[in-house]
Amino acid sequence: MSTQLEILLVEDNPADAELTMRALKKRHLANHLVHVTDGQAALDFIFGHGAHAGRDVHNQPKVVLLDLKLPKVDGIEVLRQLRAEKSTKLLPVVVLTSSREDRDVVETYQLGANSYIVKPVDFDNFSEAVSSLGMYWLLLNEPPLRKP
Amino acid sequence: MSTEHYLKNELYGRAARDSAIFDLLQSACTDGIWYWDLEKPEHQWMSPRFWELLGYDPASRQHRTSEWQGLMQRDDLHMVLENFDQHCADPNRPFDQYVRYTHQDGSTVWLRCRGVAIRDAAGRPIRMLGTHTDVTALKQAEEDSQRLATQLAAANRELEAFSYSVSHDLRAPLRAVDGFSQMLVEDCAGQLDDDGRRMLGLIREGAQRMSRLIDDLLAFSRLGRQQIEPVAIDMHALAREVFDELAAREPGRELRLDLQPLPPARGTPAMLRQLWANLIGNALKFTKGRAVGEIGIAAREGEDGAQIYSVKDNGAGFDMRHAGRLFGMFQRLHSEEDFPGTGVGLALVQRIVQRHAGLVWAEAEVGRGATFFFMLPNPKS
Repeated sequence: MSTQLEILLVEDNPADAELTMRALKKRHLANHLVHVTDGQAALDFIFGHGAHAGRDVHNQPKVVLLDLKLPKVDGIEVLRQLRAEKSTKLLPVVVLTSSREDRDVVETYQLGANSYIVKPVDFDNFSEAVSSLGMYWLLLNEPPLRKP
Repeated sequence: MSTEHYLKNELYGRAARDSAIFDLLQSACTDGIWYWDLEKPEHQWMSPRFWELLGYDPASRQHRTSEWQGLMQRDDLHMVLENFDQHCADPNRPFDQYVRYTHQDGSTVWLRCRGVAIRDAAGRPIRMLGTHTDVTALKQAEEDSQRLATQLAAANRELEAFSYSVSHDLRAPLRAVDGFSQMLVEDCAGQLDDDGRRMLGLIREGAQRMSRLIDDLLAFSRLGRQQIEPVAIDMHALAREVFDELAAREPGRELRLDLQPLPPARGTPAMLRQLWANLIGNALKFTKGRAVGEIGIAAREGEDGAQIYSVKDNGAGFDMRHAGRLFGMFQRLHSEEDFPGTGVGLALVQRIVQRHAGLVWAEAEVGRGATFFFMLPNPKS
């Protein structure tokens, strides 16, 4: 029996990735976390292609933390492809990004993201935001898809 | 029996008998005139002005239709001949269009070419009388305006892309600076002395301050790009709303608001909201040292129906000698320690007021509070 994957972190900035994982670790929310560093890797992981071929695609994360500005395939495109597939249409996606630009927020929600969080510069606030996120999506929220 | 003015009748009568009348009118007229024999279409009479508009010496031209057809630009000629056919078939279809000719010097001349067919007893068009009005300047202005609009749109898009980049890319390294400083404090507490912790605190403060500066700069630049859509604004309700919102963020404070009736204004709601937020926010900030923060918001009428709104506080005030620097970007009259801030707030206030064709100014006394005034033009004008 494979352990339930909890978080897929899609973040190309190593500093942000480290800060995010540290914040989650503090609240013991990072035990089953996978980190990828570009949009293509995120899609490959979710759908079991490329470098992640053969992965059990029934074991999907409880939530995807998705940055928008990513190399190879950007966050918006990743979101679009996730929402286009029946198997991942309902997969909870939280956009965690630096941009506060209106057009990003609107487009992201229109494409079906569940939530849009702007990464605060202040580390305490950032830490608080990430751990609140983790607590909410992993512990409080009811997932849309039950395990078979 | 004619009901026209007797002088008009007389003039028309004279013109029929005395060619001097028509000569004068025709030479004084800025339009070129043409008179076309539709029964022998090769023949057309063009007034001297007709040729002068196109840069030709009238004496060098013949009264033949072929003389001008070669000078009209291809697409326009096609359209003109089509319109001509339609007008001849149906007198209710006007013959009136803008066409381009090539001037003798090679430049393009825009002419408004219009005319009316003269028909015989059977309704067949036998002659046509028309005029050429030079509208080149008008068309040129239109084209320039269009070109500038396109340039402006492009410039705005560039600026938006720039802001987007700033918004995204400048914040990430700041996060790293702040985050890892804090992690250093947490992880290496044992190895750091008080001074070490203090210095890391300063690093964090620097990063956070820069973040606020970026936010304020972006807000300032975004303001410049917004279109003004003036609507009627209930200033009294807006000021009340903004005050309540800001006061709610400081529940521990003793605040007293004296809000007088305020007349409505015309402007962009989001901008005026920002304006009140900055002025009231400042009033709240600079009265922090007082046991009771007293804020007075009022209005009086200025010249020509202009409205002068004011926000008064009993706070720290400032030295009027430095009043000239109040509205400058990043200018502050107090130290960061005494009162936090980036110095963009009032620059934003001034920008908003200017975009509404108004004025802003302030009066104050050190230790006795300040009053900020902004005047907006008569909303009915």
